[in-house]
Amino acid sequence: MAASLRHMAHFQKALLVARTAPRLSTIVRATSTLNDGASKVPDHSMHFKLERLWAVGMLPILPTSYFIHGPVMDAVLTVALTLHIHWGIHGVVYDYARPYVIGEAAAKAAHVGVYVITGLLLAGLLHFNTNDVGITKAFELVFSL
Amino acid sequence: MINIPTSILCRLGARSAISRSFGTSVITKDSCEMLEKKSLKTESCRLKYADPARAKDTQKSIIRIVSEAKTPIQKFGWEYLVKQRGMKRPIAPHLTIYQPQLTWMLSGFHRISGCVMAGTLLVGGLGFAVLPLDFTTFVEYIRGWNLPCAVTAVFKYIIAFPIIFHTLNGIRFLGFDLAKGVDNIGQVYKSGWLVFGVSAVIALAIVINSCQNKSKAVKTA
Repeated sequence: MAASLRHMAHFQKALLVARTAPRLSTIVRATSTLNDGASKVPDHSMHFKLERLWAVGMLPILPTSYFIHGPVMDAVLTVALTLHIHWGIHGVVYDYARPYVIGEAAAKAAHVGVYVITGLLLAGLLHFNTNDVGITKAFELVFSL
Repeated sequence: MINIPTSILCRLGARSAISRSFGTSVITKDSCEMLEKKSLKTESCRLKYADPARAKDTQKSIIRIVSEAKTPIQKFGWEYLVKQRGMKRPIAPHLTIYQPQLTWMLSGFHRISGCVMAGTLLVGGLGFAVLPLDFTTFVEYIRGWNLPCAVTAVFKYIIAFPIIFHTLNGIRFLGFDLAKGVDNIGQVYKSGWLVFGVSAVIALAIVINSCQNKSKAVKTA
């Protein structure tokens, strides 16, 4: 049995494709977080939905806060913004502060840092609302300049 | 057409395949030769290179360090990164090599504007809590500079635009999450320009309105 060089080229090409392609069909280990829908393995789909629902809930708040100013609006904004910012910063940190880039320890520290930032932000905003003019009034003052 | 026996061809193909598939291992032929030149650990190096199974073990133990790789695709990604680092190549993406396009520019600006606004709230909240200065005094101090309306308008626009843009583009991205408006790239560009334009107009309206209110206040005073 014999083969031409052309066959050989095809064979080589097929080998190359087989080696470089991501193996999506590989069997997933039992500890995987992939949800096949059949089993109720905890994943981030609920978190994803909650994040979007929170953002949708914030949509009417922003135009309202342009017209209505006061302590209630400040409180609503503080709660809405703090959680939205927490999830946002969480996503950003998980995207960029990766173990491959900055090392395992630094990545862990960055992930803890997200909660520190959220805590400080909430404390700062609550302090501003109670001991200072509050968010909406602050915007009013800046736009009166 | 030259005819070559299949048995020889298969062996040739298989050999290159094996050497390439072990290219990701820590000890490669090149590094082995380098070590040999320096006459360092030549024996163990040769052993590892000669024994593919052992070379693969070393590779596996390095990959095992990673806690992140949970799925085959993540494992593939990690192995790829380790391979790139082994060859001293930089990690992609390098944003500067891409052509500026509305699609990724808006996405990037969405994220950057969100981070900057969050940072402003954090620094502002902590700053006014820690510093012996309250917001009213701060604003009155700036008012004392008697800045022309054109200057304050620019700053107001810089404050207003990101808030409106992030909100409107947020709606656009919520649509993308629901697979709305992503049927073709034209839709993505259209909604992108729409969001950008509408936010620019609303921000302008807010700034003009605030400037008119200011001039009214000056007249009555």
